[in-house]
Amino acid sequence: MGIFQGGYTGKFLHVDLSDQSIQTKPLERDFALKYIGGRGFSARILYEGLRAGVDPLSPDNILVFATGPLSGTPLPSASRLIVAAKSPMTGGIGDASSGGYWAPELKYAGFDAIILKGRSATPVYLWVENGKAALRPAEHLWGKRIDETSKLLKEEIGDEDIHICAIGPGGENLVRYACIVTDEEGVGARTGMGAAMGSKNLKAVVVRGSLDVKIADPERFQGVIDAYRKTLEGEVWTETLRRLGTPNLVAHRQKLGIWGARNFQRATIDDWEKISGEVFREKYLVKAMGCMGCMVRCRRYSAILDGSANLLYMKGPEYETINALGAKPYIIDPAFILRAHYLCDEYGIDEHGAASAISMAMELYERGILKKAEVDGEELVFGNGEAFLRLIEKIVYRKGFGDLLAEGTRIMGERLHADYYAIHVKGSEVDASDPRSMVTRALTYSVATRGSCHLRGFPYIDEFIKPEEGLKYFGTAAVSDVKALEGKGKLVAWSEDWITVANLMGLCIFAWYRSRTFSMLIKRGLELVTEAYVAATGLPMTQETLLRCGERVYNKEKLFNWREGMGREADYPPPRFFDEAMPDGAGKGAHLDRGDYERLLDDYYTARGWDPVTGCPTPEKLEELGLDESGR
Amino acid sequence: MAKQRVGYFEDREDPEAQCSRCRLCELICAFHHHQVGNPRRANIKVIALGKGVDIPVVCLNCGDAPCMNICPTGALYRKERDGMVLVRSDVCIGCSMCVSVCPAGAITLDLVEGTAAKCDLCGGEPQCVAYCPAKVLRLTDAESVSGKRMRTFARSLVCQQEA
Amino acid sequence: MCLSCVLACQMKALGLLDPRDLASGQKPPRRISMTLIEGTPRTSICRHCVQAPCAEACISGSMVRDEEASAVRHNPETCVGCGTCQLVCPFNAITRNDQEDCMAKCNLCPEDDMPPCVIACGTGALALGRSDHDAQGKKRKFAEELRGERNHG
Repeated sequence: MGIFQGGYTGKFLHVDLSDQSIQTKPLERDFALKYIGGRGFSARILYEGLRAGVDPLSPDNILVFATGPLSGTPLPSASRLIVAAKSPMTGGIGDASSGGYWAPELKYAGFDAIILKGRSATPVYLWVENGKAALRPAEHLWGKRIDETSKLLKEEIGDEDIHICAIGPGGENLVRYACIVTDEEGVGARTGMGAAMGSKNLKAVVVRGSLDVKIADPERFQGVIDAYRKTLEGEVWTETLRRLGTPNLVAHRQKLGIWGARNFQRATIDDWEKISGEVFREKYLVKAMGCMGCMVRCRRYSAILDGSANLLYMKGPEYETINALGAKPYIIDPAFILRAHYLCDEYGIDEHGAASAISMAMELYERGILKKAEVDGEELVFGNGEAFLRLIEKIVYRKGFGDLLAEGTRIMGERLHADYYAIHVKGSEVDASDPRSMVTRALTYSVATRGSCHLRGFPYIDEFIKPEEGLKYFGTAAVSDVKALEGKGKLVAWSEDWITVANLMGLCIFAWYRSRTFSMLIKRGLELVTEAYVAATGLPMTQETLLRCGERVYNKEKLFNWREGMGREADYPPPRFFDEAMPDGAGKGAHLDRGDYERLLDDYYTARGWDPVTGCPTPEKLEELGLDESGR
Repeated sequence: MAKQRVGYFEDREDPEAQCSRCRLCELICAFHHHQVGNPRRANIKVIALGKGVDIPVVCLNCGDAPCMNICPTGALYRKERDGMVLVRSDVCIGCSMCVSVCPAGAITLDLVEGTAAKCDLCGGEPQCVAYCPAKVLRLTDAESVSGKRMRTFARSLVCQQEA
Repeated sequence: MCLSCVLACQMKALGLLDPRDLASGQKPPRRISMTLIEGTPRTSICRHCVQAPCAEACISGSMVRDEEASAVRHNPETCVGCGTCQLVCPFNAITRNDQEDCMAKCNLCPEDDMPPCVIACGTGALALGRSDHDAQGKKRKFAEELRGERNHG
């Protein structure tokens, strides 16, 4: 009988791939209360387990698969897994999140997290079941794509009901933006976690579990389920997600004129209706799907005709799929987008990684900076879908020009002396949208600890927060003015801490941390989540303490980056956003103002209690968070 | 009232009115009966057949129930003539004969208790039906099913005539 | 019903490798047998019940449920041959071993990699399995059948 009444299993699985040793270690109560789970576990484990300067692709890197205390409970949408390591893309803290059923299954197998170090001499996979684990040979799986890997594993283990996190050839070949694919469906895409996994010769982590996840106070927990369900009634955001999935954002991007099309040279797309959410629903959608326990069901399951009369089925697309594979290379063709998406998921490479590299090369080619001979004879102009597909293969197998593309835009910029055209923050490509016309969005993307990320913070609050709420939470009614800068530093900082809670608990942001009313953000994301945590674990928790845990984890990640030499200079958007105005769309003429950005960044650092010059967390802030001067 | 069970009704034309494999039914079932998170202790299970086909499988409440017929101790019984087949756990010896004979695999031995576990319609208000976000699970019975099928067949006759 | 399983079990009990060495009249206690139920051959063998009536009834502690192996093990050494287990077993799976003055039943042959009855079965009808895998496999087959009938509950 463990020390936790529920929620947590109380066990971490430690695997040393170098000597093939496996141990189970207990989760301490204090650790749980300070870091909660998910990104909290990984931030602490990585910060305290690594020293500065470790090569992310060496055996010294640590790979963490972390669940949250609510994963595996009957709470709707508690499905998320965090995979974390030092990022081969940024050299700072890296993490990728994916949904589906894997994280709950790890809890049913009896573990809160898996921590892997070292490197196996030969390819292996980790098999985890009901409190036990074993490393098994994976030579026969090495080189296989995701669908083949899954099929072989299910045959070998003799069970369809297993859950698999695997890398494809992309991860095996250390494509810098390789990703991890769960159950052939969800992808832990960003920051190159697939490469970290591949560098350890780890092909897959396979779980099967039938143990209970206990609930300390079942009646109270039932109350939270029902209260949450009630909040979904009439919630427009979730209804839109169910109908169109995240592709509903295509129309929004066009309307606001914030596409990063043609490698961020165009803010609108001429035939955008061809790749709208409606088109994907009409022509390609098989059905809406849901991750574990989800009442929203935003996942898409689509099919395209595969050359002949066969249907090719796949999860997706997401909005980011359309953004990466359609907008960036300017290939406005839904069938192409799905085909390229299928390939990226099968090979296990991040779509944004691949598309940003190829789109950057397209711009360089069109500008004459790259010559035809250097790009393997391709007519590498925007819109060339055939070339794009050929280059995906070359990236995965590091052939020809693909070998450089596989390094990502930052390294491409360095090697080709073309940094300006590499649109990234800290080495991770800008996704989501072009923030040139909204400085708070630019700030959010640029200060995110894992490189450019639109999910680390939620600046869009300024679109709907009421002035009274602004005054109450952020000390100024001005936060409700989208154009104003006042109070926005604090707003971004608060939203980062708040959203971090989702990643600590194992909750889906779309189901719990999205609304168009501020009070609902508090109700779901803090009030109900705190209640769920207490009801599940029996541990004491308040909304303030929980937010503080989010802040602690965020600070820990910042310290990690700081230790790697990433200071203030790493918290800036790419120069294109300052030096070039948006050429078209609703934001035509807009660009970031350096003075405004500096002010906002100072404001953000001050709001966070960090040194306003360097951005490093101050000793006072660390003490406040219960960490010592070294951040432990 | 004919023997009731939880049935799966989908609309193949509507991408939101099909089982989305969210498995909330499994979670809610296991939680309702055992107060834990553990879908493998649920009496309803979603079977993923691939290519977008996911089907929840649950006790059909057979008229001539093989599980009841084979049970050596009388642990499987009905309260009323048309009621759902239920389990008396204190009488069950966990011999798994019922598991062997159920054609749908809808009765199992509970992983913790060791005794037979099956859908009991939650005493009249099935939780899976209440919580299914796609609303594709419904309390139904064999007569309703055949009635619906008759109507569908009749409609198809009319279309043929008009064609 | 070829009864190879029955033969294999008896041969193991007698320590024989060749069935031709079976002397006529030699009949070790029955641990497995086959019977026809409504035209279908079914095994008559210990079900290794989770709440085994034989284990509850045993006065010498010789019938013990091994949770790890999902089996009820009979220990012939400590068994006194009172026969209560035989009376309470719903499946008539326990018999008397007159030679040793104790009872006999299927123990799932823990000393062997695979029970001889399973190896002997020529059609694969006998398998060493767990009921939960059984049920999951049947759900899958049933779901396949339901695939075409889905609109009708």
